[in-house]
Amino acid sequence: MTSTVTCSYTLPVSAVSGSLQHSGSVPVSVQGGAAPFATPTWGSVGVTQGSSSSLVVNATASSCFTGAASFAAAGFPSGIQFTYPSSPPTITGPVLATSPVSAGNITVNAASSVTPGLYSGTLTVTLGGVAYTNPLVVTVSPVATTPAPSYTISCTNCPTGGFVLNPGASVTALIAITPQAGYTNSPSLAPPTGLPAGVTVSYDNSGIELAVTGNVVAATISASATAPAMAESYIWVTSWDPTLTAAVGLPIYLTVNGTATTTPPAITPAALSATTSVLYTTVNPTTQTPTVAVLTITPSGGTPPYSSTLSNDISWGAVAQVNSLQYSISGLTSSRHAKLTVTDSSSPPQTTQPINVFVPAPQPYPDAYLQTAVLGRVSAVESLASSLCPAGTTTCGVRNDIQNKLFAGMNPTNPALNASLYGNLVTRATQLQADHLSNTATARNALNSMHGSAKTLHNATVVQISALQTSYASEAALPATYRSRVLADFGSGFQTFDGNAWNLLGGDLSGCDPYYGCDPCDPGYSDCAVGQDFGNAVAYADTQIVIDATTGAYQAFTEESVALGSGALASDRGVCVSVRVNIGVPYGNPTQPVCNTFGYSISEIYGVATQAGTYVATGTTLDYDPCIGSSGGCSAPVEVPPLTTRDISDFNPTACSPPTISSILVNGQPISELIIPTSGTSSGTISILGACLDSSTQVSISSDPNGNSPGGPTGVQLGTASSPGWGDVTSQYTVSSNAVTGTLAVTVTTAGGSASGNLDVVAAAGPTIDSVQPYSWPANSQTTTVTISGSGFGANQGSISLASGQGDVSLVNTQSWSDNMIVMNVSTGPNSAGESVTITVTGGADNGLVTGFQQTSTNATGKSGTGNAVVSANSCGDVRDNIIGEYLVKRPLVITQYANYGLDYWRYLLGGVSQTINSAYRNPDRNYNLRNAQGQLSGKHGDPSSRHMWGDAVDLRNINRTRAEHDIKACAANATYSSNRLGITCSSSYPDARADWIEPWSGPCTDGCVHADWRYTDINIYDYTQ
Amino acid sequence: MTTPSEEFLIRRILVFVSEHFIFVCLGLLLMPMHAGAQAPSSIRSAVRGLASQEPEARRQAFYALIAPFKNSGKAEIDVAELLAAYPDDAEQIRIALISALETESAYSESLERQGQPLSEGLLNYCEDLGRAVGSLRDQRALKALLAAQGTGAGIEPEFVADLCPDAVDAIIDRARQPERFFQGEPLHIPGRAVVALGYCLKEVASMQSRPEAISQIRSVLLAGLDSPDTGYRQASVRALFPLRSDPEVRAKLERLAGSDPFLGPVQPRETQPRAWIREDAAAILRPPAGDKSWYVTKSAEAQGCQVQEGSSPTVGGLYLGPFPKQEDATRSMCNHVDPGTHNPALCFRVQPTTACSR
Repeated sequence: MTSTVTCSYTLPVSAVSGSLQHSGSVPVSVQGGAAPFATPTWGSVGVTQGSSSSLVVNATASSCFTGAASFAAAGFPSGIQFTYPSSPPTITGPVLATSPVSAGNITVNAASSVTPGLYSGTLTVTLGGVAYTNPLVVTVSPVATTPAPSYTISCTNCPTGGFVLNPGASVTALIAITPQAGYTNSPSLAPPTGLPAGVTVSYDNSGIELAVTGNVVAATISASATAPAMAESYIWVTSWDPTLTAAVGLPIYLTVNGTATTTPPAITPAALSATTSVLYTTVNPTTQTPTVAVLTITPSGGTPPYSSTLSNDISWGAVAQVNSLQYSISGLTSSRHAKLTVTDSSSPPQTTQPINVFVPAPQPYPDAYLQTAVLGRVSAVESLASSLCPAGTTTCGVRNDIQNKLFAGMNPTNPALNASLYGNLVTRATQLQADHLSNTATARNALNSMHGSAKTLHNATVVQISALQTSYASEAALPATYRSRVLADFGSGFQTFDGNAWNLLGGDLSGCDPYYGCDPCDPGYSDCAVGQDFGNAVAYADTQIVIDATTGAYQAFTEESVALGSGALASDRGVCVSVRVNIGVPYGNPTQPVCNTFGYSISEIYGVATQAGTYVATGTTLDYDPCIGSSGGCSAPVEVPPLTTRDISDFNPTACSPPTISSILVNGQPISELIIPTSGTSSGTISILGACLDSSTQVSISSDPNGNSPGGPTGVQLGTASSPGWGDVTSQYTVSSNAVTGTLAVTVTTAGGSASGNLDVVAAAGPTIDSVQPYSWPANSQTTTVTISGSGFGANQGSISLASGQGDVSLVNTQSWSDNMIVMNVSTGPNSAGESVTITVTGGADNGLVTGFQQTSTNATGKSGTGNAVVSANSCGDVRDNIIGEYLVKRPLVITQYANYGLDYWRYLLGGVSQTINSAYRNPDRNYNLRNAQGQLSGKHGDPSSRHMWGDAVDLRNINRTRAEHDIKACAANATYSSNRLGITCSSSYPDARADWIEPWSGPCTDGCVHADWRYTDINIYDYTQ
Repeated sequence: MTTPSEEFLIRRILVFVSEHFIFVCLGLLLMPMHAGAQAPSSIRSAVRGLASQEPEARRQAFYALIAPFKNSGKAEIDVAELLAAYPDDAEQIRIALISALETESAYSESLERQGQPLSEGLLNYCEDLGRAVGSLRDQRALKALLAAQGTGAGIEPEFVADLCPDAVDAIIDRARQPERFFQGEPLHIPGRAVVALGYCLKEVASMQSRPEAISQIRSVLLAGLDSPDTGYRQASVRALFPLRSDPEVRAKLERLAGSDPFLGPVQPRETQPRAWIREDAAAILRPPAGDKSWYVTKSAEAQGCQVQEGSSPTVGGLYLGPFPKQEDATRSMCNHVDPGTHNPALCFRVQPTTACSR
């Protein structure tokens, strides 16, 4: 049975006949159709703080609908109140969408305490028993209070950027008053104070501003004839109304083109100090003797500009004064020691104590290593073959065949064979190289396209993956392609052609003329059309080391150059030079070779001697691109064999005193803190850096004289100090769980005196889970033994909880418990397959009986740490990751420190010491299955959108898990970012690694690491080809 | 039963309604073509998704929203292109983005208050969303931007400062709120607001017409020089750079340059701790030889921006500044670029063209 709806209408009717007109109405009833309904609509509403607005709700209705609406708003703060109409109008359908009717007006009230802004919630309107719920946005505006009478003043003729005033001249600024809200008073301009030197201001009309008439006061600004220069100053014009007791201000910007430099403000400058270095910069290539050295003086503190004086008979000539003082040393006399004093411009001036400057003796290169390079123009075929056939591979038959035929071609009786074969080989080589470059470009473009669209291999499109696969398949096919082409060229005589097609000529070069090579286009060949014979090349290499007997600072360098037979310096396109010193502590990154492309390379190393003895500097060179040429071209191939040179210098430091401490490192990190373990003891190494710390140094600890650790060094012990020599001393430390937090004094004592530094003893964090083994647990298993490794679990057993989505994983028992390892047995149910499991370890109470007779809580007690595991399920490996997984590293993570940005520079700024990377690039699989420091699965998962998959993010470990270390590393990553975005106090005078984004303290690293990335730098530049 | 005349009248009414109904329908069909580019359903669905109750759904909705335009690496550029592509929906998108940033900031703050670290995905999302909303330069976004600045991840201070001078009161309120902590360590929230005030002073084009706003900021910053909070004090010192000619500012900075007690940690390769705040104050006070501060200028015609030394504009008018270093001015200029050439308050292009390329 079909239900029907009856709608009744009243149809007005009128009839006209001649002059008669009658009106009436006719009731009309219609049956059938759907149930009547109505639909509400509303927009957003704006309301001012402390007031109300009306929100109109409209409605449309179908035929036959009749009824009224009811209202309910939700999701808004308590300061926003809604008042609904008590008698909403009755809606009678039909109501078309083109002319909706009001369903009622809602009054929206915002309390004065509500902060202006957007507030989102919902409004439910019920019509005919049907509730319609949709979003409602209330915009709260600031209160627009009725302003009290006031006024502003403005300058009507001040130029943008302010007035420019010459000494002895004047300008006039017109100060207008703008009354507001009925203001009628007559304020006056106060005499300006704090004017720039030599500047005066006078007003006309006694500075009285008449609001009624809109009086304009002319301010005449004058500069005396001797007014000093002042850039971007301003005069603060203040108007005062004694009735309102209100003042309004107006800055008038002013630049004085003064006659003298402004005197610096009298501030207390930092203590003046200076460091020096001496470096030879010019070496006579003929005599191999340095002729000029440069002394660089770098002042610190004080007030620039600086001046300096030098004693003794060395002839010094100033070079430049920028951020440092530089002198060239010429004439190099017998005296190589000078006394330097630096004076600043403070009042009174500061002067440093005499600083010893040691000038290394210029020496000819006594051990210069002359090596005649193999100079010959190797053909394109040979070059290609060499590059494709790594040295040391098995000689293949075809190489001999080719050589034989090429040599046969040198026989004037059969030149055609040689020319043909050689031409073919060159063609094939060119094709191969072009194909290789094409494949590389295809791969690069595909990668950049993928990353540019925010994809990684994990979620790339089929098309993007296909482009990559195509390029790699093509690259893999190149050897076979080339082989078939060579076979086609050489015919059946090359049936012995083996799969190692690229071992063409490499090892058989010895059979060629060492000076002219195997190229048919050599000087002895009649068809030689191009090329130039440079004659024999001579490679020079030399190493020197000098040590300052006063400071122990050493400098060593190795240089290399290649000279042609003509005597000209060859533009060797690729020589890398590196130098090492056998003992001492180098600065920076001495493992990084220096490579150059201009025929001359020099590598330097600076450091400090740590003990008496013979210091040996060893330099090595490596020619990675056997070609010399000009303007980037390759005029002639040349192979420079590896060269090794050495120099020695004895260091016998004189006794010095007193000792000093510059810094104290704990476990190699520049954080002077010892962490108290939650149980038992922990140990490590303390390194004390300073001066005059020889092998006789004694190290002791005591209470801080400032009273920060009144309990003394309880629970902290140091082992016997050992000194590698002359600049630092190390000692093993042991900290027990009953140690007291505070500050200890570390004292070094030598025959020359003693010095002290502070060492903080701080509490450890709670439990930390480093790994869960096995990470993957079998499903539906009654018992699986699992080992949890980490730290801070507490000496006594606490508790373990397991959480999984289905709740089908349970702890059977705890087999063993120690501070850093727990062994437990777990069970898994049939519904657990594929489940992620969260393991929570809560530390137990400690045994310590430090006070009283009750167990004492430690930092592990009651604290928790979490780890993860999974219950195994069927899984699919992503074979695509194997294609290029190792290539997705952006330039900032691989560029050297010398680029002044990026990861290596970050490390350099942190003292040049090794840093531990918790995590850097992760392919998607690696990101999902995070590993611990030992490379084992940690049971933790990276965020699915992790920046680490982009190859530009690094987590540097916070070794000591302190906020201080975190902030130091954040500042070194980007000081401006750290200050502006994270509020961290950083110095503005240190460089930084220009990271684009640094994780806040409340990020996932917390105290474990510092995450920085270069997301906006070198976008899409993945240097996988380098 | 109706009479013939009544029946005629009813027929006329029905015909009238039918004709107009057809007209209305035709109008509805033609409307999208006349109204310009209307966002497809996927975009509208993403806009609705920004209001989801589920954090992950909101995050996915945001990236779905900008996905068709995501090729620059910076969310603000993607959003500018999105708004330009769908002008009819632009206002709704703006409001949805602003509301979403408020939601995420409240969500982040709630996590921090519970001691829960913010996930990497949430931080990355908030970074992109914050840049997108900040780039709108919409006064309605002030509440959301201040809330974002008050979470652990923070926000570029220029985005807040660009709403000055109208935003000065609200920023000062933030600077006076108590510090918040995460796992016992301060998050430096008030200090970040002070940084934003410093950037407000560098909004030279808009602030010069509002001296009372400058006076307000000046008072807060001068008071900040006496703050026991090291970060707050350092931020106040740096923020006063544009007012370094003010006699009272100079007097207070001179006192700090001589006696501020803060010593930074000993840096690698140095042997003694240095007084960073003293150094900052001294650097501001030390008058360089000549007009050595840096400004960003903007030409009114082409909306082209460039960095110049000195306060006498060589091209156009002063836009931002002064900055103590050229790189600071360049960085700020690059945060004010609208390559889509839609917001005349920003730079449409920069000179040299590679100034913002890294």
